[in-house]
Amino acid sequence: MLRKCISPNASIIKFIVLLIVAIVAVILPLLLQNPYYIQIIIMVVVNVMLAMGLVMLLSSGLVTLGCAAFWAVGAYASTILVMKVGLNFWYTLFLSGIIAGVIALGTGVVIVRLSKLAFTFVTIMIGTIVYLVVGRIEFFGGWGGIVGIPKPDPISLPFDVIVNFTARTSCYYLIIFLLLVNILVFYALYNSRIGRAWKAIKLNPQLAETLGINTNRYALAAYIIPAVFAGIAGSFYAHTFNVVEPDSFGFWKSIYIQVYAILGGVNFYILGPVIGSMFLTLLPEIFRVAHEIEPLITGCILLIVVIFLPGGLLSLPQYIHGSTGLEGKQNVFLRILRRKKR
Amino acid sequence: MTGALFAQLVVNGLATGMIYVLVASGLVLVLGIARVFNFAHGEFYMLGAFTAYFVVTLFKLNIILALILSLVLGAFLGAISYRSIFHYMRGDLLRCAAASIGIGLILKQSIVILWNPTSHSIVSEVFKRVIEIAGVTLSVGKLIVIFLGLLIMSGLYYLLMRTKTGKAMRAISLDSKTASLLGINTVKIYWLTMILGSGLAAVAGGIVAPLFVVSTNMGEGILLTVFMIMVVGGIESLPGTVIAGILIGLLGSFGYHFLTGFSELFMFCFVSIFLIFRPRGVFGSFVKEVY
Amino acid sequence: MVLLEIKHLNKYFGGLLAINDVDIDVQGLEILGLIGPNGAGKTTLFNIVSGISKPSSGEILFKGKSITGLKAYEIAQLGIGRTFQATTLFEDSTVLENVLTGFHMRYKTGTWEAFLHTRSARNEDKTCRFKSMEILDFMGLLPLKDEMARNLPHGYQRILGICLALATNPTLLLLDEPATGMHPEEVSNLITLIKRLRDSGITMIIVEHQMQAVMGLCDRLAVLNFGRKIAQGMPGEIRRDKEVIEAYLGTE
Repeated sequence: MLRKCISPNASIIKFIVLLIVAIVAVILPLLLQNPYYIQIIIMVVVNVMLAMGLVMLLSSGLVTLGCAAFWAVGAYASTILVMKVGLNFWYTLFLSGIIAGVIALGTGVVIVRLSKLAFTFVTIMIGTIVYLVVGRIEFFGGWGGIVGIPKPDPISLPFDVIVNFTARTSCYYLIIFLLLVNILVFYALYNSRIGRAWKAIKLNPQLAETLGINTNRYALAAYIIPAVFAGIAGSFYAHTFNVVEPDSFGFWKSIYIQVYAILGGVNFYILGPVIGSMFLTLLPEIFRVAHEIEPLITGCILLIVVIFLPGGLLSLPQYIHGSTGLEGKQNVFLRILRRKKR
Repeated sequence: MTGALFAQLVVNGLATGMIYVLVASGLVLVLGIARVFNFAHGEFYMLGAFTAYFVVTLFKLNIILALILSLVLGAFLGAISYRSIFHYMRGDLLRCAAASIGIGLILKQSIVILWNPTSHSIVSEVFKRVIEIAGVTLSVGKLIVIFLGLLIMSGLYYLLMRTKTGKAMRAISLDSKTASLLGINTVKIYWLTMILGSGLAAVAGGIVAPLFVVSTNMGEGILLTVFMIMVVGGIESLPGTVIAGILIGLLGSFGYHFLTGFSELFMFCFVSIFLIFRPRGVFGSFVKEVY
Repeated sequence: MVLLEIKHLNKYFGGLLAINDVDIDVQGLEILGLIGPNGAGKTTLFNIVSGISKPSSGEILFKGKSITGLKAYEIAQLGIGRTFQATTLFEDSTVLENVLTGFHMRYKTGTWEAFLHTRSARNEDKTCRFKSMEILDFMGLLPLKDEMARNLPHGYQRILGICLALATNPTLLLLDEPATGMHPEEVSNLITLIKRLRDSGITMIIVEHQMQAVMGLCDRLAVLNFGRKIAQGMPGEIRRDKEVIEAYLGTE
């Protein structure tokens, strides 16, 4: 049945699916009247942006476990600039991205040339340092964080329409817009020779070098670009949720971002993070009653996916059709599945 | 600064440092030889501590027995997690990391759920470590920690340098393909390394239990410190890690005492600056070319 | 006209002197054979010339300019391409994508244009794809263009490796044991291909053990043993050189 989908009509189907998704995205706030649900969806989208960034770095072969750091930088930078320096949110939204990018540039230049293992370790440290800086230093609010962050200023559109951001709905549309920009930029990059260079670096960095690809520069790009978007997402987060506290930006957040990416499938640059984030942001909400069980369930799901479906949830269709060859005990599960189909 | 104060700070620092060294060595072994990135290493430490605590408080057994049980528990956890999970993804660091995160979450939450209140510290006051006066007031407990640490590390040294298994381990850490071609049963060594490394973490937890607070968060805390130590010492270098661990322990001890507002932040910043100038760490060679 | 000059090259690996005061020159449009017993340092030499390793001392001049100490990608951009002893490909990509990656540095349109997918960028993509297929055709792999690189039989993988290097439009091509694992039919096919490459203007240095191939193909030979160059000259002379014979057969 899957094979029937991959036919000349595939692009029409893709278009229809995208159209449906777009329509749903636009009318979603109207369907979900409860602002709390809208807030959850907003969080899902933020997580999608963060996970997408991680996947971009992964596509060039590097693993970062400090991605929450740039998110934090964006959030705190925007907060400080708005509350203490008095800038308008609409400037700080982009400034935060730039600040995060600059920090990424500074750290990246040094660490990109390290071995993969060392790179990962140092990203952990960067994440921890940022966490400690915003936690310990009073200027950044200390452990209690900063509360009462103002919402984005109202913007006026043509036809005398003024959009203000006190309601969740407006924030929702803003983040959808930001996500759209993120997806477009990333899509353009992946489908260009830049994306090809990343893939080459991931598969065989030595070969890529002998083919004239400056691996360090491309890895640096894969490090900085996600940082910029994480910074923007951070700024959005701070002003939508009005609170920033260090614990949301710690090591565990970086881990969870990693998990969003892996759960969806790291080979699916855009859809993977979407599925992963949706799954794992909505899951705690379902288990909100038994708050303690949630990490347990997350851990189990993660373990199962990593063991049996290392390509992530989205690789399930491929497996059922047997197009990836995995040996060993993991395949027992899939063989059983396949036997049952016959 | 008096001699007494100096001695106390040194003892404190060495004791903390020893614990770091034990846990860090475990992870260096697991990472360098078995090529498994085990994020649950911190939770093994935590479980070792809980085991020791329960063995002594609930069953009122000897502390030495408690330590042995911690070691056994750690070894057991290492063994089954390797056999059932890590064996299939050895070498793929991301996958190992993800799997071990899952394991860590499960282990930690299980403890949290089983022993309410959640992550409040269970203050363990196992036995009063009498403060002995040897010209200077030193904590016996901490001296015992240092002693035990040295004992275990010497055992580790002996294992790695003088036994056949140890040689096999070292060979594999250098070049696993050649090692297997030379007839070394690499799978068995990976398994043994995992047992050894996890056992080290757990026994460190057991040693810590009587002295410090036992809480469900201790795994995460020590893991981050251990990462930092590994980066400073050189990720795959055991001697470097030992030196770095002791240094960090001492740095913390002196730092907390003398600098108001000293915190992990200071340490991390200090370490980062060190890294900018010497990314290799003390003995490490992890600044490779891109290949 | 001298294309490549290796002057007084030394390379230490710890205490081991892997390359010992080696001087070699390569003339334009010639095929130079680099031979010697295993472990003589041939691949190490290639690694140094292509920029993967740095020499301990000595100089390398390419087209008269020093390339000593340059990074591998810089050397590639200057026109030196290479293949590897162990099959080195992008295994999880198709054959066509593999070769297309080789074109990366030849793009005239900038990175920005690539990102924005401007018309010129897209056109250049199409052109490069077409040129990739030309290379595959030249080397006989065109029918396999959509196959995954890792699924190719070994002999074809070696040829694909050469295609990748060709994609960079090299002036000098370093071939590291291209005939390994090929049977005689494939080898003579390879020899024809190499001759065609030379005719199209590429100078080559070939490391090879199969003497038939080497003797018939190469204009000159350089012989390494234990990191030292022990002979350089025409195949006829080398065959009769006493030191060379000793190196291969050992002293009586």
